[in-house]
Amino acid sequence: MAVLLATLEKRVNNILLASPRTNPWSASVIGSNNQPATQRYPTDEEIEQACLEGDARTCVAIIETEGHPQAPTFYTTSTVASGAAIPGHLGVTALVTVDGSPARYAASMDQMLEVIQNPTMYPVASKWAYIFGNILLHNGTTGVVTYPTFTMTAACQAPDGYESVDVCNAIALLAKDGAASDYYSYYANLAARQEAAIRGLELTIPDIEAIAA
Amino acid sequence: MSALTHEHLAIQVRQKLRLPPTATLDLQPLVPVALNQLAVQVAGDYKKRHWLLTDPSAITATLTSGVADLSALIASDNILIEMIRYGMVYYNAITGQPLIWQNQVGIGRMAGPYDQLFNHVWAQGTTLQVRGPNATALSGTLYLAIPFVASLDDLPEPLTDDLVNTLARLVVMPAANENAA
Repeated sequence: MAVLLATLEKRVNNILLASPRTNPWSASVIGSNNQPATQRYPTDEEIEQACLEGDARTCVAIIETEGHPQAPTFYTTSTVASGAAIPGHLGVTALVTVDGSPARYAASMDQMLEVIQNPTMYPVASKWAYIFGNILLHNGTTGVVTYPTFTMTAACQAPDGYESVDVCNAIALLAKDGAASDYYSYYANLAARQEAAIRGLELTIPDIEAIAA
Repeated sequence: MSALTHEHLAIQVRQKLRLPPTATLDLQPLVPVALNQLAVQVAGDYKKRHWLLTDPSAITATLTSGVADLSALIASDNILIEMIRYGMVYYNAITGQPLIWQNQVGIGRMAGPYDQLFNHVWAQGTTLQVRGPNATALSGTLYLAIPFVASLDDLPEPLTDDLVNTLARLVVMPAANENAA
């Protein structure tokens, strides 16, 4: 389940003392309760947008961390012809299937092209693929790429275990000229540390085994 | 017969040599080369050569006035003309004595002992030439049990290890292997 935007807004409003005194645990700011529009945060929309942007930063950190256990939440698939570009996305592609089975990756683009152009020399070389930049090469009929992507919506998308990251991100994004910089720096620091923790989950690829002489 | 595919063979050699997974691709183009070298090695090995002889009931050549053209068989059945001497060539019936091999054209055409008993055969280019008793030019059918290059489909199972080793040798010492062949 994803972080709830309403809860996130309440947390942010509460921390920034931007909610009405009569209802401190509120998703609305003072300015939207017929209070003078001279407050630092006069509209709900500003808070809401910061919450969504903060949530997006959390999601992007998860997506860009290869092997992150929550990354599959953001996976989508596209059918891609050999030689065509994988649609724009964030992070790294997770899987390529060719004709319904996971593909094996060739060592280089040259090797993949050689296989494609000389099928008689590779009579049992089915379901091989190679990604050059964002171009997919494969020697099957249908290639399907699974990759992470992210589109901001009107709701938060980070898994709810990351609510505190969203809170810190949102507050860090709400810093304004004249505000107490150390206050926002504290949350910016906290957000950075939590983002580092997310990105620290990156799957470490083991060294390639040395070829026996 | 072996159930090996190009990929099975490539995987076996890759594992044997501890090569990376993409070597499964690299090795496949070398399989025909390995099969060719294996055929030459087997034909030269008296203990193994009978594994790779053509079926004389199926592989035949028409003999016309003492000459049989093998070019069609070379193309379609991968026979090794340089190794024919290690096989058997029968004239008109598989059950009889195989023809006596003569090492060169000159000796083949020369009258010799047992001319009345045995027909003689020798090669000239891609033809087989046969001499009957008293230099009679024979016509008929030659039945050939001669060395050939097997495909993976018709490679006898006992030779699969040899093929794996041949392919592995091609990878680790290609130059030495070329000389051996």
